Formats: sequence, C-alpha cells, structure tokens
Amino acid sequence: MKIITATVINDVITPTEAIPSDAKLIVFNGTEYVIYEDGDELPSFE
Amino acid sequence: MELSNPLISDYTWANKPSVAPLGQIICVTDIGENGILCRGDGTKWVRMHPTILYNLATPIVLTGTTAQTTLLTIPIPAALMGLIGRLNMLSFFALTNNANNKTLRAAIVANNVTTQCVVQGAASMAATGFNFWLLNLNSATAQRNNSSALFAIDTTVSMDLVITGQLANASDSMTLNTLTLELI
Repeated sequence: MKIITATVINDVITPTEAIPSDAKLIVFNGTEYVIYEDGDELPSFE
Repeated sequence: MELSNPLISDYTWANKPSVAPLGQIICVTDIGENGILCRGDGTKWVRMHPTILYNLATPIVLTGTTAQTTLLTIPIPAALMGLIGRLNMLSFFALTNNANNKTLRAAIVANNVTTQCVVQGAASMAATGFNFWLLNLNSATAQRNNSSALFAIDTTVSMDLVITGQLANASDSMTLNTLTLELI
C-alpha cells in the first residue's frame, strides 16, 4: 500500500505526484490517495 | 524471410525530426499500444490512423469529501490531434445509488488553462456511462464537442485530459471502473 498526498489547485483536489497505472485499486478517502497493490486487502464500496 | 523496412525509422513523438518531407513515413514508438505511423505533409508529421491513447486498468474510488477531486489525468502530446483529429472518451462509473447528486467532469488543460468540456450529473442510479468527444474543426485551435459546444483549445501544445468527480454527500462514493481514450 502506498499513500500519495493531495493538494488543492484551483479549488480541485489533486495528487501531488503521478498516480501509478499498475495498482490494484486507488481510493481517494477525503484526505489522501491510497494506492492498493498486489497482496493488499481491498476495501469494498457501494 | 527477414521482416524489416529500412525506409521507416523509429522515433518518439518528442524527438521526431523537425522536418517532415512530403510522403516520408516514420514510426512513433511511444504512442499507442506499439507505436503509430505518421506521414510527412511537407511541414509536419500527421498520424495515418486512429490510436488508443489510454486504457484504465485500475478502478479509482472517490469518497470522504464534497470537494471536486481529480480522479485521472491523461497527457495528450502536443499537435498529435492534427487538424481533423477527434478525441473519444468512453467511461463507466459505479455510484452509490441514492438521491444525492454526483458530478462527473472532463476538462482539457492546455497552457495551464482549464477548459471544461463536459459535465454530467448523476443521482438515483447505481452506474452511469460518461462519454464525450472533442473534434478539431479543420484547425488545431478550434473544436466542437458532442454537445455542440465550441472551444478554442490550442492542441499544438501538450495537454492533459483531467477527469474529476464531486459528491454532494461525503458518505457516498463513485468509482471510475473503466475508461478508454481514443484519438481518431
């Protein structure tokens, strides 16, 4: 699992670095981007 | 039999020759699944065929905020659209199925100017498609989209297609499950 912090640019929440394209799941949880990778337990959303 | 064509050289889009002799064909290796062919028109290199610029392989979830939030940024190389190119974006979102509004936006950022191309609201549905196209009108700086709106985006510079989401209720979620970006 990897965390990418967020910043606000022109009133839009934006990651501070490029989000990887090979992750299993990416979640912005209101604070930060959580990058789930192979082997991580994935949360569920509905 | 050996497969090779010494008349077609490989370049990246960034390091392709500055001169584009009429009729000369090159392979641009860093665009599409395995490169694209471009043909010189005497002044610039022009794509010879459609290509896929991006396919989303990772679901992206938004929750926990009501602020507009970037879900995905896709770079589009400078001048790749040409004069009559068309960007086609097809995507599919899963949503919390309730009456709260969820807003999906697609925008082009070029020269640090953000041009919003399409907005879609969604409520009381579990999923929605979110699609748009943007067509250059025989000009690299004039476009029309699938809502017939006119734009003046300079596609001769590098651009980003930025997909954002916004929830009316932070307890809800939206998930960008699939997205493909084609350049026709």
